[in-house]
Amino acid sequence: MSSTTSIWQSTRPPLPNSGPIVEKGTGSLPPVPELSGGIVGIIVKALLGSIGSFLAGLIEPLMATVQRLIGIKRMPWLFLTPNLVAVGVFALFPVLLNVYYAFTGSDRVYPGERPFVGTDNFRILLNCGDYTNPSSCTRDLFWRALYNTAAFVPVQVIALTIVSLITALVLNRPLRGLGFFRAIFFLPVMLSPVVVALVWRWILQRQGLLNGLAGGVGLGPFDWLGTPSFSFFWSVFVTVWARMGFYTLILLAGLQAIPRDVYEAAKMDSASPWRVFSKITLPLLQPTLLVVVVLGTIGAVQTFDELYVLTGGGPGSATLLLIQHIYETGFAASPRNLGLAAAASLLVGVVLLLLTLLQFRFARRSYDG
Amino acid sequence: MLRMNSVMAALAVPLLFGTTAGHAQDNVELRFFCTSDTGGCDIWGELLGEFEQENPNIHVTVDHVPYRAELETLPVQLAAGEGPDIAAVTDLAGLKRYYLDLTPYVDAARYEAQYGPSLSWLRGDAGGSEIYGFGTSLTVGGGYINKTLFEQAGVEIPAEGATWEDWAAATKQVADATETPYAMSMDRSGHRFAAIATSYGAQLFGEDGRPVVDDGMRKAAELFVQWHRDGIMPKELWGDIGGTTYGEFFDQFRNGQTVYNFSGSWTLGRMQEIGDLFEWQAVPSACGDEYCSVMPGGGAIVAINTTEHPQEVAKLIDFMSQPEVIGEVLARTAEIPQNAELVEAGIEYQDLDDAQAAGLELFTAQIPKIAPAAYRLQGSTYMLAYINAFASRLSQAINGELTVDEALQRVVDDVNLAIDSAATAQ
Repeated sequence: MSSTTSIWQSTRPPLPNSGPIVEKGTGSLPPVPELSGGIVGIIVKALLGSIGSFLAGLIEPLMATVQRLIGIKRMPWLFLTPNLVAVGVFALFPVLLNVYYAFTGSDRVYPGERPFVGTDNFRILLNCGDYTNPSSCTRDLFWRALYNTAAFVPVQVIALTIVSLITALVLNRPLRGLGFFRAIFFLPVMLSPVVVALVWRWILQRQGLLNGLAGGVGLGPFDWLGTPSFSFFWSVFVTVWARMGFYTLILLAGLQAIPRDVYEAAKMDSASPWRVFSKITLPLLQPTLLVVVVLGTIGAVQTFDELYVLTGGGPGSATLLLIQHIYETGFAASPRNLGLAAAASLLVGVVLLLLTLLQFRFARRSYDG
Repeated sequence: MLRMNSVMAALAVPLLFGTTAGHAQDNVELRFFCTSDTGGCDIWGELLGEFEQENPNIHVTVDHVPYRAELETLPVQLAAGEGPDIAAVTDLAGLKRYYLDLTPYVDAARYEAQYGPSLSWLRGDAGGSEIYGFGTSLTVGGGYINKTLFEQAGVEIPAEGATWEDWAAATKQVADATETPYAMSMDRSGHRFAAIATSYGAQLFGEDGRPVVDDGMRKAAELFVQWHRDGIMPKELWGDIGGTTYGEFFDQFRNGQTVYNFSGSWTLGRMQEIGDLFEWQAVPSACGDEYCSVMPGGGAIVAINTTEHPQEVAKLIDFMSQPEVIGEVLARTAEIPQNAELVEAGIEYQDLDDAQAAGLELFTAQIPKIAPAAYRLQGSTYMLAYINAFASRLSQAINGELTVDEALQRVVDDVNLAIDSAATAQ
């Protein structure tokens, strides 16, 4: 036996009121007099305890050996390994592969078949005569997509947050049929984004429902998806409509976590509803709002499927966002330019990282007061 | 006796199991990637039943996929080595690197005799003598008109030799007189636009194999953009959608929303959906300054080089390429054959009405008018890059994001980027 103490044998602290600790491999049960679940409950728990104890006994020799080999201080790494492997394979490895693709060329998929091209892909993407004019850039569509995304994300996130907040405030009041309304607002979240986009496309197309209604009162027809400004508006509208239910739920949970007594104190002081909202609700909701803004921003930057089906990035490139551009460059173009797509996604990744760091700094500052 | 039977049974059991195991080992499962837009996949499904009866150890699964999957999904599958065993393709030379050469397994002379031109398209710019598969149908772009609307408007249908401008003027007159929303529509595909461009004399590629902008292409693009701005063509097809997305206006044509729809010979099979809603007619290719050209096209069924069963794949393609087999598919989908024997003997099309039969005859008659540049584009490895660039860049010009000249320069840049990108791997 090594001098290292086994955490399986003696580092487990005794649990309060749990009776004597089960010795390894004995299978004996602790008395549980405080549990009043009846005799059946006690038997079930005893059985589960036996099974657990038996299983622990099975792996104990292995764990003891590992602990002897790597030392007790390194044992947490052993427990983290499954998660680390999953993160490494499904998150870190694709990022590294993306970096590799960004510095290699050709339309080949297998890394071994792709020649190294240095920073050519980045040079092509960033080559602009005038950065304010996408037409002067070698990859004009990348810059158009970038500017569109830069306009879409703040507008969509602000609209999403405000609409979700208003809805959450309404749903937080005592209403008849509250559960029904909560379900109604949450329903679009459960729909496939493609279904959402198709439904709205049928509503908005020239021969669609909206123009039918407008025609009924002598208006239109309007080209809702054929005019850049209209198309941008509907892109924001449809994505907000489809996603607000989720954020409303988060804000509703945040609202319900605010202590009632604060509102009661405000009521006793005859505070106006606006003062209650601005001085109590909003400040106390700030941590939840931050979560909503962070998640909403990530979702807005990742917007792809709704707009791909709704507008296809059109008219022209008016609603072309970065993710669609990356997809089209890497997968829909012929030949596929995986290097440019990877370089574009890396640049987006860097910008997102900077934004996230800024958000964290802002959040920390606001927490520190 | 009982003892004898027991011995026999004891001997028979391993024999039986051995035989079964042997059969299981020989069983081959093949996957056929079939684009279902023309309805041909169901017919293939039926006919492949006969093939399976003749070859009980081979089972063929027909995967019905939309045309778009062929453009976007299939190339990724193939590049990842996860493709089907055989596939129906239209980007004939673009996917050449994934094709399996069937020369060792088939009678190459029969393929050369029956499918010569389509074999060349599959081989691409570099040429060669490989047999990758066979050409199924020959397609040509073409226009359809709502004849009833012409009659209601009292406008004469432009005769053969009429230019695109003549057609725009005539259909606009009809649309105005009958309050039809659109005069002309055209599938959202650069392949269709290339018909107008080559008719006005666009060469598309220079002698060095690089894309070029010339007066023909410029004039075609200017007309095309102007028709959208004037409301002659529907903005929602080429204007409202962005990127390279394919789109068509057949449903609107069927509903009487457009006077003239430029699609292709492959739409003939669907024309029966119109029924007696109105009288329709296929019309001759409109002319430009140089040609009255449309784009030739066509599908092919090819063997994929990642298959684990090249011999069985060759056997399957050999069956499918027999004139009587492919002939039956084309007879039922109302398509023009590529098989020389069928071209010579003619196909007895099934269930065609008079308008469809006349349409087939008319489209076949357009083939000699096709401009050389159109054939060059169709046979190019960068055909898809070119037509995608037309779709996305002309949309930008229609929406005013780019001028026509800027848009055409972008088309050239996009195709050059595709050529350079592919060249880095060679």
